[in-house]
Amino acid sequence: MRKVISRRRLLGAAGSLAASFGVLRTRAQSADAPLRFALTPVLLTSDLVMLEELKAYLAHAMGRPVHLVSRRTYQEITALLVTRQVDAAWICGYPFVAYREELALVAVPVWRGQPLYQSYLVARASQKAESLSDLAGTVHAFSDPDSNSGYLVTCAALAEMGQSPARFFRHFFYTYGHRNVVRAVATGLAAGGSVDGYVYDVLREAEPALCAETRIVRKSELLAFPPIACPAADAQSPAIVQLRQALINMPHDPRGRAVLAMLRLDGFRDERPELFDGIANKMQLVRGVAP
Amino acid sequence: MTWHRSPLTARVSLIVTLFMVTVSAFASERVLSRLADTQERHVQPLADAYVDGLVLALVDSIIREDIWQAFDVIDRSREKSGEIRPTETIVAGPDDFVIASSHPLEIPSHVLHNSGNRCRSG
Repeated sequence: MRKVISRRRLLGAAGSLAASFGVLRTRAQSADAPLRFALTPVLLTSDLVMLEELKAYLAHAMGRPVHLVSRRTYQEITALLVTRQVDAAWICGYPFVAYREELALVAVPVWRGQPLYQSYLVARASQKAESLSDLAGTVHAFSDPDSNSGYLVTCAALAEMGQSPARFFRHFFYTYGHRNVVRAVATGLAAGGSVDGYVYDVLREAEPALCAETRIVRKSELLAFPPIACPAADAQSPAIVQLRQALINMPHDPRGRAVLAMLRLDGFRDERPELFDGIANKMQLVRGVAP
Repeated sequence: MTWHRSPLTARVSLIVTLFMVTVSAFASERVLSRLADTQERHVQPLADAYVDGLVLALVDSIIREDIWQAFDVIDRSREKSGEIRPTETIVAGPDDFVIASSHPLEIPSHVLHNSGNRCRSG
């Protein structure tokens, strides 16, 4: 964990330094500048049609062009956001709490009536495992080292047992995508995996054959859904206010409803940062355990 | 005894038939052999090109010992390999430990691969 913490501090320092020298100026302050909106694999980024529809809806609702930015890892997206190279991003709750001082909430998705979701610990269907303890000494697939559901929740459960991934699992690796975690477990590359419960449930509908090779061993408590965030310094900028309104108004617009249907979400909501305290507690718990 | 008592015409016919069968078998064997050679000459460059492409796609994963990316590359290449249908692919590091294989249940990651082949597609 020491490496992760130092990386975060480095990113934060880089952002502050750049801002203090006035090197990075948010382009979204001008009325017609494109909004640079970044996406992590918190959602099913493989759905190109959905991405195009989301982009088209936001551009229509905000009255300005929208440029979607996509990267392989959460770390890359977080770095772009903290250093203000993008105006807003759909990130995970873990980087949001890790950079709480540098970031602000724009909106939080609502799924099944709540701005909450769960992390699932999944195993191969034939794997004899009833709890996390039964997966000791096996190969484990994590989604991303900066993912709440795909890493932090399992690490926190291990920390409660005085364990860490390096000591508990025989090996572990990152797939950089929740769908990839399911693929890794289904094919037998890993005995178990940590995955976003929302993505897993959507996959169960969309790709039942893939999920049939896996089963849920453990569901976490409800935690804050991956939010849309922006740099704290831009929280009240016209572009971010427009973005927040566009997201919150999605259920009232036919194009917005179409996007929500593709995402299997009810809508977006204005929420307080305290919603993410549960994730912050897990982060503190993990930081207190030796790697 | 039977051979000497049979008519000459029958004996000649039988000899000619046996000769023709022998010649046909020899000719067929040559044709099939040449066909196999020709096919191999065509398939080998195709297989080499496939393995070369695979190696190129795997270099980064091998350097970083990225289990998922190595597996993803060989799994997708199996789905989209067209005429070439690899039966088994194993990616191992310089220390001969398996990074990923096309059949992770039979050949899991981190086991020692005895054949010594760094990237084998069979």
